Amino acid sequence: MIELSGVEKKLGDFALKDISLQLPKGYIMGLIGANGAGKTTLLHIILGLYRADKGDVRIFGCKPDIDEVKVRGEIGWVLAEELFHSGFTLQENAQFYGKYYLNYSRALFEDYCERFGLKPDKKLKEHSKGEKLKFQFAFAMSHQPKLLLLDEPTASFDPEFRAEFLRIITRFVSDGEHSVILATHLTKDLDRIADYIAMLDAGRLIFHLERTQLEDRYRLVAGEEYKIKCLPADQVIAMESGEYGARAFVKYNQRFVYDSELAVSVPNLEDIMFYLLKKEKQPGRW
Amino acid sequence: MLYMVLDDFRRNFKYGVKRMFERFENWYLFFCMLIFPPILFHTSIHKCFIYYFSFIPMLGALLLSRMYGGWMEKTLFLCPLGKKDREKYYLISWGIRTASAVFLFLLLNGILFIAGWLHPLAFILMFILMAFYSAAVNLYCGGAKRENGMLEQKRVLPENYETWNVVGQILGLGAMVVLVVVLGDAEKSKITTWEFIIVSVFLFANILIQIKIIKCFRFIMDYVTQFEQSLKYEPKKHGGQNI
Repeated sequence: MIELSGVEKKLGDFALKDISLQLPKGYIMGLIGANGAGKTTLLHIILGLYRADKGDVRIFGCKPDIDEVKVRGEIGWVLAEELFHSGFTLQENAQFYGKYYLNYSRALFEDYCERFGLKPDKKLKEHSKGEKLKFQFAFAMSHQPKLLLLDEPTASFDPEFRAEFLRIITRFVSDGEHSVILATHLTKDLDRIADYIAMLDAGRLIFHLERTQLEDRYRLVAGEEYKIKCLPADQVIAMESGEYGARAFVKYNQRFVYDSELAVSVPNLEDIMFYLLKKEKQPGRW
Repeated sequence: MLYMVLDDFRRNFKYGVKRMFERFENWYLFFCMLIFPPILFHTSIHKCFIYYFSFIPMLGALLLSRMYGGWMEKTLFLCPLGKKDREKYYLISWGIRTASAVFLFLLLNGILFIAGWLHPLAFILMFILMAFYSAAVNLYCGGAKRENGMLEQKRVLPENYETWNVVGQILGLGAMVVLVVVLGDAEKSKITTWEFIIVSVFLFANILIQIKIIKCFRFIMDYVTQFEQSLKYEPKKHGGQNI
């Protein structure tokens, strides 16, 4: 569904460099990275708002900056910024912009508003930040897209709605014809639902792997500092020590036998992101 | 598309007014002060009417350009509208704004012409001036350079666009004042050589400048209809559009 190949984009002092990734139909990709890593820029390129300086971008087999009507007609978006007219009601906003979408359904929009606890006849500016994002999500779903691009939506959702949101997007991809890209810092959500993970840092793609491949690639090893320091240097990506011992983030090697007194665990996404960024900032400190 | 643009104008009216005031710059005050000279100089009632019936549509064209011109919401860029559709939207929007001001001019001065208060030559020349002025001023797009944290500052419009924009506005209103003063009297049976020269110089210079601005049309349309080049301005109290 999405194919990016060697994509580069320069914006002022920032540059996306050599981004190559694919997302097939029926899967959820988590896009992670620190603030300013380039997640939003990448989403803007997929939406066709920015044209890549180099490389090839194909969405549904089309170029988003050339076949923009076809591409954008099939993309639902939730962006972490103020969009729509704040002085219009939710219903007015949906009608105003929904007319541009072939598959927009007012009934579907009202149904989602009811599910999300939104009042369609209330002005957008009278809603909280979280409610505004819920509205964007309701609007996105109401025109029945094939692809959802979600930029940091969950941080503003309450826990109950976050669970509902994750259920909806899981169901969205379940027929194998739809896909989702979810850019988020809340890696716990991705631990639950993501099939692919792409990590960006300072405009570069650190990795783009299936979730299961990630779990096979890294380990967290904790124990006495002197034992941690004995680990092979070529395996250790990052290390930190504290009062009660040390922890190392290592490349997993199935054939390597870890000391029995070391605690070896599969890192979650948050640990992976933390240690990989730590390594990027402090190369060669181990 | 015409209905869509008109509907957008109607829905965006309040925000247009906000945008207009938030873009309030010194020369709006100057233009507003042009309301007072006929009262101050004890001009005849006929000429007062001609003056105001010409000045008000010109001010209307300027205000419409600030309310609705040179700006497309980011949400509209996110919708499935192709570049050709956005250009069509922009063209229709520009056409409506230009035509509205010219229509108001024709309506108001048509009444004076029918009433015998306006010299035919003055009516024609003022109409030509108004048409060019309205077309040029409604091309307004907020500036020749784009500055924000993400995009490089770069000149995307031809050199001196902003300068000609300002000169065009001032000269346009100045030329209208000259036309009204020199030719506005319907009882005038003969125009002297000097009057003809003064009027011709002002009118010709003004039309040349407006044409120079109108020549930037393609650049301005690309500027407004492509997101990477588009205006990032957002009224302060309106839902901001961030890059």
